[in-house]
Amino acid sequence: MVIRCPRLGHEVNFAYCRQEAGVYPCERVIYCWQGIFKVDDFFREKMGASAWEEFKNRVPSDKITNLLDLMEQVRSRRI
Amino acid sequence: MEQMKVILSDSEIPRQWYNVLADLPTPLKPPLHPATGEPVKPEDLAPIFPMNLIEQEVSTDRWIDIPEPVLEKYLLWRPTPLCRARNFERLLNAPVRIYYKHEGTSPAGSHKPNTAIAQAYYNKVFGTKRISTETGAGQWGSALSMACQMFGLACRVFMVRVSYDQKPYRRIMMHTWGAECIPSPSELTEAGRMVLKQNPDSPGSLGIAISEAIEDVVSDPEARYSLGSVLNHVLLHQTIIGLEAELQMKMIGEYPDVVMGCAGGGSNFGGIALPFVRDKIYGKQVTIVGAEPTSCPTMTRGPFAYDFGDLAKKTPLLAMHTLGHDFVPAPIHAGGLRYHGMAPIISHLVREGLVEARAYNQLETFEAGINWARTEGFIPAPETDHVIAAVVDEARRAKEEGKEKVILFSWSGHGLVDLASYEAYLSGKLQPYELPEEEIERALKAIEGFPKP
Repeated sequence: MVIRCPRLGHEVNFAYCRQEAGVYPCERVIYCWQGIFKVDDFFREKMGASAWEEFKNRVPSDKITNLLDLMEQVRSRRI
Repeated sequence: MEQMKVILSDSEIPRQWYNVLADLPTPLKPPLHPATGEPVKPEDLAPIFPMNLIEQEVSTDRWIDIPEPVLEKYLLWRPTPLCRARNFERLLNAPVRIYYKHEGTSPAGSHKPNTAIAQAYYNKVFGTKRISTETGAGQWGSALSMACQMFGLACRVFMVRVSYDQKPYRRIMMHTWGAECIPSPSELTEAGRMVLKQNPDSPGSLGIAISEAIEDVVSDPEARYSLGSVLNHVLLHQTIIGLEAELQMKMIGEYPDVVMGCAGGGSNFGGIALPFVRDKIYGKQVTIVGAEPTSCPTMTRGPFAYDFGDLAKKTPLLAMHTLGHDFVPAPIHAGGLRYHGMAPIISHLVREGLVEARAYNQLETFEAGINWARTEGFIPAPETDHVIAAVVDEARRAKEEGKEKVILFSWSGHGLVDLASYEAYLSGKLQPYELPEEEIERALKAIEGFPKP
């Protein structure tokens, strides 16, 4: 199964999207795959209902906050 | 002879960028510092951005002068032509006049250098010696590589490993322009080493590549980070597109009924749209549309639109199909995630009702792009195909309504280094709508055990 990834700008398969963020899928996984198969059912089974619901209800932080968070992570790794 | 292009002379290039923050009906909420929960202060960003760009990021001045050295570089390909897509109009056979701003004429082939050049310049003035960034397929990485070379800065690009392996041409472009292009995760950073330790075959991700780029600049006081989308100053620099288009439309006595762009991180869309958003705020009748990707069927089975209230997580995601069709997948309530990576300015304008988003399926976008290539000649970047699909959709609406419309859109880049994507479409490798159950089972089984990012 191959689709074009709007974030990377080339084709990827579902194996990539389902674990793009390590233990979590890519945050676009629903919008990229829901028209193709029952992505909701798939992740509910694989991740467990509560983890999947938690993932779906996340509100991504804005970019600046995310960058500052990464800076903090770098600093904390050095302490 | 019919006029096909509207050209501005070099001396007519706009001398200022437009900052929509000055005209927003309600102010943008400031980002909060993750450690303190307080609004971010300019000095918080100083380790990763030069102060002159941070000042632009928070500026509410309506107009910001474009420095002469930036204009000199812009003039290598700007002002870009405003073209009339007469051949595509004939194909659509609808009551529309279609104008497109040809941003594929830049040396890197897309709109990205509009901000890459500005950012490289401001970094040079600030005293930065090296810029670090991340990239996927390389559209941004290649634009920044070129811009850094123009201003004598070193450039390091962390390219997601899977993209590095799949997309060699933009990687070669980066090398040609003198940049270091490093597959991410890499051994160069602690963030990369941690990932590789767990999984030596990691294909990487944009998240990992960003982590590496940030660590890289935090570790080097002479280096700064650069981003090609999302941030306010990036959209500011891109407004040169819409400002030129306004002048060009005026030259031929036209004003758009609809302004369109493809909306990924929002920089291309913001570039064409924001000057017209200003007009709309002050009373002009203009519809402004961002085209984005979805896996759901759209044009061939009816346009698919969303209620944007879900952005604030106040209302459930509402899917509507305006033409009627037999398959509408049950919408999954995950409204916040839909906007992952979108520029705060654009999200804010959607909430304010000044801008609307329409989503198009990848197969429909490629179909639109191929029809474009077969009529207008130029092969669009696959991202650009999204807005062309939106133009097709708008032309159909005009035909149904029996109403003449002038459509203006940003043709954001060419697809000459994305031909593998066209091949995937033409050879039927891209996924169609809703697969049969047994096909899903087979496909999911086949990918078990693939390496994790």
